[in-house]
Amino acid sequence: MITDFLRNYLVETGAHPLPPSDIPEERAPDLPTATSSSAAREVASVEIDPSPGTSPLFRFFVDGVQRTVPVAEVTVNNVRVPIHLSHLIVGAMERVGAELRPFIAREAFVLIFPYQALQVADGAWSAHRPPGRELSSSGRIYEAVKIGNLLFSDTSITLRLGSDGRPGVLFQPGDLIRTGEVRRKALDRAKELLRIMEVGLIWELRQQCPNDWILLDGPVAPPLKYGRLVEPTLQGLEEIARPDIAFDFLRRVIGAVKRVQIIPQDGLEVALSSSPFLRLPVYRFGEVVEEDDAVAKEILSAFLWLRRELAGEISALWSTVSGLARFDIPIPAVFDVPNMRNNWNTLGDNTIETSLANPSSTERQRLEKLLQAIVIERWPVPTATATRMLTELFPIAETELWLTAQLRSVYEMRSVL
Amino acid sequence: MTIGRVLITQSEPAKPYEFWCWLQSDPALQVEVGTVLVAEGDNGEKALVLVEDMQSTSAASDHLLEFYGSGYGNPNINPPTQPALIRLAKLRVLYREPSTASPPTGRWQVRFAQAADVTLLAQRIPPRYRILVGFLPVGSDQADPASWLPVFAHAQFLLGPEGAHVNITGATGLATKSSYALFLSYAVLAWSAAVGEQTAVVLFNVKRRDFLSLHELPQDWNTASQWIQQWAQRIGEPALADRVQAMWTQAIAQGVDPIALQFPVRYFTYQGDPDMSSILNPQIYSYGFEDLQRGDFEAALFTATYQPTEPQVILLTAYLDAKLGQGTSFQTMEQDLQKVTPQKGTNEVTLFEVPGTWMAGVPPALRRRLVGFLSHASHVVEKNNPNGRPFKFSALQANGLHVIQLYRLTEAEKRLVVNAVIRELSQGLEQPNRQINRVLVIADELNKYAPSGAMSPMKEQIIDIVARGRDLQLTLIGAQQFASQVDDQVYGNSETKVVGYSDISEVSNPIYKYLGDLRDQVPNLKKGQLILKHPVYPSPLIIWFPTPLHEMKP
Repeated sequence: MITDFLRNYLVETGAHPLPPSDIPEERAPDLPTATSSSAAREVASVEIDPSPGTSPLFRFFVDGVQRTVPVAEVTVNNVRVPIHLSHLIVGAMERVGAELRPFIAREAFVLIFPYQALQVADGAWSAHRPPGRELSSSGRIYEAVKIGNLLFSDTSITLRLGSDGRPGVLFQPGDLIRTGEVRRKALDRAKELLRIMEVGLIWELRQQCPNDWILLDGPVAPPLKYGRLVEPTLQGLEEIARPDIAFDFLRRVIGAVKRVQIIPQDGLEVALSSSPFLRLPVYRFGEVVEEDDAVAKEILSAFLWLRRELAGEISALWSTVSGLARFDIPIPAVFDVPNMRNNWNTLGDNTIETSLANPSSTERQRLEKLLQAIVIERWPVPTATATRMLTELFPIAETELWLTAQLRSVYEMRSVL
Repeated sequence: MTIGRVLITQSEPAKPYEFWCWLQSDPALQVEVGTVLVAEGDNGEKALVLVEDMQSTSAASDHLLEFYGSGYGNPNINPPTQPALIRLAKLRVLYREPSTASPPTGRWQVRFAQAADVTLLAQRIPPRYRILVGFLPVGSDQADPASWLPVFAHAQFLLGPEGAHVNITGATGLATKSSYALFLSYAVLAWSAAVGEQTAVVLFNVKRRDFLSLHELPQDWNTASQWIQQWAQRIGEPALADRVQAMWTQAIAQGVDPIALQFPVRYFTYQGDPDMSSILNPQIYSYGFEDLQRGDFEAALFTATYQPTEPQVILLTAYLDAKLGQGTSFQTMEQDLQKVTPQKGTNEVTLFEVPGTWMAGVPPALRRRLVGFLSHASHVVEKNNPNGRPFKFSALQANGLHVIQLYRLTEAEKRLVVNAVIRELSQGLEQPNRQINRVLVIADELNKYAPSGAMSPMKEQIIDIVARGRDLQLTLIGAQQFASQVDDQVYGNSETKVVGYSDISEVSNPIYKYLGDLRDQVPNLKKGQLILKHPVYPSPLIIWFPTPLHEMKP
């Protein structure tokens, strides 16, 4: 009887049934999509033919993968503290013709645990300094990775420096009993180190091939925070302290964000229209950081309903924005003129909007060319989870597959003890 | 050069005798089913392997993704990145060093086999017992004899006493079964001559002129090369010439040189053979009543579809006991079966000079069979004379080929001749002072003589021969279009099996299970390509053999 009332009500309201799915909401793959909205200014809106017929632009595809496992535990004052081993790999595949080929890969084995906290809790730990070079706030991390050997990172302290110029403290001895937090911090550290390695790899590519386009898996903003830790030259990336260095770093890098958490507060509907053309609104956000996503004012964000043709085919996904991908386009990628190397980061919203609104401007044409190059990457579709099938680009998925295949197995990593 | 690695995954676990490998992404890499490769471990482990099956795959999980990935089913989309194509090869172990029945212990490197690797195969066979049975391709240049490495059979398994008999299956009309049987004959005779055996080959010619021009060989190998070139042009496959030439060159290197060895060829045919004028020095054969034995009569008179009654068999036996050796002819027999004397007060009769009494209907029934047979056997049967000119064991020449013409004979005549010849050969091989100590019999259309299903007198004899053949040193090289139509015992007793191009419906029969995944390749076998299963090798091999020289005569 109740169901009859409900059905009648829904019919009255004109509601449509959802695609059949046996996935409960707590496991819905598209649940983390569009969890945060933020004020943003639409600086351009571009219509692109779904099959633009342009030549591929991107030569390199960069991704990073990691596997972090607890490999041992130590007991200090009756508290068992896990020690993690992380295998981190970053790499770039190169497109030659229509084929992808491995170009460069860097890997690191890093022992991760709260060493200083252990030292304070038990002085005997001072005699047990972990082997290998420490990856810490003192930087040169990518250099250490390139050298190889076992590395070590202390989760008691932050990698980034605080306002006082010193690393922050993450763990006091009393925190060691919070095993879950110890594990969480180990995972976070592995992710940070992976980002740092990605920045290092991009910079290495930049040195070798300064004018070739790179498509990075994920947002572009987060790596900017880690420039100093990668190597001293890149210190200028942080807070765009050195616009010229940031300009050189960013002018040929695009980020492909497959799981969009941050969306603009309004205006995104145009991306979801079913017109013959793909409509890509381009926004400029302020600084916003979410769990796995980040945007920044130095980066334009283009939203694309990447494979709208498939939206009705994947029954597990039904949210409005489940097929939405974001492409992070650093301002230097569009405003790429030498005389802007030192002041590109000072461009105001109005200047950008005006320039991009002018169909004959170099910037507008460059933006359109970039977006066309992104659109032609819609096909083929990677073999992936439902959400990724809608939003991940094939070369990125292949790069990840290549790198993941090189990760040591959990069993192999656990066998170190 | 390493071309791949052994694959060890959950879905493709490595087994002791079969495992998969992936191959490097290079379209120019010439690996196909039948290619011989080597998988090598870091610690000196080596496996000589045969590519049994191949697959191309990609990361795309299914057809939906392929469809979606091409612009949602748009065939004109040309994506900037093509998904990687991964070629996989299923490998079957032919030889393992060190010998072990355990799977590869790592992701061994895979490379093309070289001459030194393939010679490992021959190590299983002592040099004295090596008989060439074909070639394995190991190089990319098919014109190079070194690209064709010899495959040997073990004489004791091919000819006895460890095993015996060869069975060849293949579709008719592709010149494969007869050609290969002849190549095998050359190889056996060459081996026989080399080791001092006295071997004779007897070939039944059942179709056209398959074996009627065996003597027509080129004078020398220069002439042979010209023949080969012209033949390849003639059949419209000029590329074949290099391959055939290279294989013959390699065969000569292995001692199989039909031109140099000059195997004598003798032809035996029947009176009235339309091909007689084109046969070199034919000897006429025929059979009179006195030339035959009980089994020959039964094979001639009775078939699986016309089974004799027990009284008929008893009468025939009694008649033969009474009349054989008395100068009897078939005509006499026909008349005798009419001379019945009724027994008063019974439904029984007696026959002149034949002990016993018979139900009145038995002699006429046997006579009808006899008359029916004689009416269809005029080419090979001397009706009025007790004796004809039967094929004799004494006619065999050491290391010679002996062709017995059966083409155009009736089925009854063929049964009589084949049965009588095989019986003569087996009896000859049991004689103490024989000039020949080993005989190879090549019989096509084996399904006619030893069909699956009901028993017949002829089939009984063939079953007996294949069972005792390896002790007698009588080897049957039987051939047929469909092995599924041959008696299980006859087929099963052939230790060496050879399969040429056949229809998929035939090879789906369970009797081909021993081929494993190679079964799928049977419908794709090319001219001159066969699958060989020989007891010495743990797995079937895809081999090649050269076209016989006489077939290429301009």
